Amino acid sequence: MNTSGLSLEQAPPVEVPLRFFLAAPLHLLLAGILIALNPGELGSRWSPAVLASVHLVALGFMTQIMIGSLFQLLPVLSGISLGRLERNSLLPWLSLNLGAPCMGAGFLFGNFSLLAVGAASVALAVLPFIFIALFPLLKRDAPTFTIRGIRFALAVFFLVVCYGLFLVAVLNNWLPSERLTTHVDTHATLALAGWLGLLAMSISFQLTPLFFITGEFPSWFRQGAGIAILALLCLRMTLVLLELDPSIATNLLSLTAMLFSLLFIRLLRKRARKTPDPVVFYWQVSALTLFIASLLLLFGGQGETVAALALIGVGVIMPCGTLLKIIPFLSWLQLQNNQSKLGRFVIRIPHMNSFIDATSPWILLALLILLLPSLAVALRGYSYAGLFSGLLLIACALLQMRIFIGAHTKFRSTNRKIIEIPLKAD
Amino acid sequence: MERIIDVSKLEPPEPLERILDSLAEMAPGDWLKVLHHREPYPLYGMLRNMGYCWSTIPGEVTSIEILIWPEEQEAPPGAELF
Repeated sequence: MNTSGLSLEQAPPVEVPLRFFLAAPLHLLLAGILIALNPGELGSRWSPAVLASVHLVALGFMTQIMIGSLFQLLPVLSGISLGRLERNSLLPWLSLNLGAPCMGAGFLFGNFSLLAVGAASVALAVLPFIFIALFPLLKRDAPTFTIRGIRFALAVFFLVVCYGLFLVAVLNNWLPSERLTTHVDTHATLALAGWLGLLAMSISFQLTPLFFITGEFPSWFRQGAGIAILALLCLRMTLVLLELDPSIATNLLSLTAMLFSLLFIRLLRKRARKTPDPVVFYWQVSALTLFIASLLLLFGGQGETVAALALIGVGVIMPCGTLLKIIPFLSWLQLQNNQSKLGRFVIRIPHMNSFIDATSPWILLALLILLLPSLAVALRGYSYAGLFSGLLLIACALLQMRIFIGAHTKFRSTNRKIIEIPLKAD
Repeated sequence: MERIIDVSKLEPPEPLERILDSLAEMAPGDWLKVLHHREPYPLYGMLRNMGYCWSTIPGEVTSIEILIWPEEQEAPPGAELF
């Protein structure tokens, strides 16, 4: 295994990221139910069901998985300590799982007080996490491209959350604002291109060669892409603040995203091993969707379609695929470590591939692929497509829960066997 | 007797799985030669815990070779001891 640059002894217990991963599909389920119950509302970005679903997916699902993954990855990738992980991860987990549905309910019922409580809870989850993660990362000497990208992503995420709090204050009439749509667009651009885009790209620099033995992304791209995205986001914000047309910055962001997706697809085609792996297909679909969304943005496509493709294509499909690799891998590694601490081969640990059945990932991928065109049609205001999208999202969430819970049950039962055997010997 | 496995083209954690499977099946007196493309760092801690010694040397077919043997056994030929 290519573990260069990794500090595996720093890896936290698997329960830390798992609590985030297991809770995430619940928010996808809630979003699916909301869409299925309000299928005609997808035609407007301002409809309560759309605002609620977008925040459930973006915060409850996507951000939850990203924070869970960072709790696992940061100590391993950078060797930094995030303190007592079991304790430090509890507040973000609780606050995010309370805050995201609370925000969803606030949007849905037009209850801005509930929205403010939800937003405060999300901020309570996210801001302390950003501080405990970002400061040790900033102190680290000679950072890798991945670490540098994660720094940028966390810094932009801080802005996204502050912007979100500002927008909640505007909706509650606590602050005045004459350009609400412009501010919402900036909030969404920062979240999608900055938080999601920068993080997904930086992590793929490290995980793609690690998991699929593909070789590296070109060094000029690893060196320049993160800083380019950050600079373009700053340029876009400046142009917006000066009330100038930000399309030059938006178009350059689209081109950078297109370049990343092409390089990503090319790299995945260079796998040393050619056997079909569903995770590779998830990543390829994700990269292709990003390419299509960026192309649409470049040629003046509907902003809502671009955002939906980016959110589902990169924010849902990519983490879904990655978790299909990560959950069995972390579970297997922890079981092996637990077993090896006993000093002998007591139990044959099930192989990583046996944690998840062979068919479910492919069915989940098919459902997610169907969801993309279905949502694109539903955004034009077609109720049947809206209903179909909601049902697809519900099916995806339920299948994901079944997969994750199944893998976790296998982990727990094997771990119990490992723990019980020495007790019997005593 | 020497047992050889080539894990250089496998994706993680298959190299580790194959190595641990092979160790579990090793008869007394055997040692394992692993052909790999990178140093499998997570393996080393496990080997230490389970009472194995190892030696990582430059490979002939792949970039590195790892020789693994039980600590109560003598080091196999070619092993570099530190």
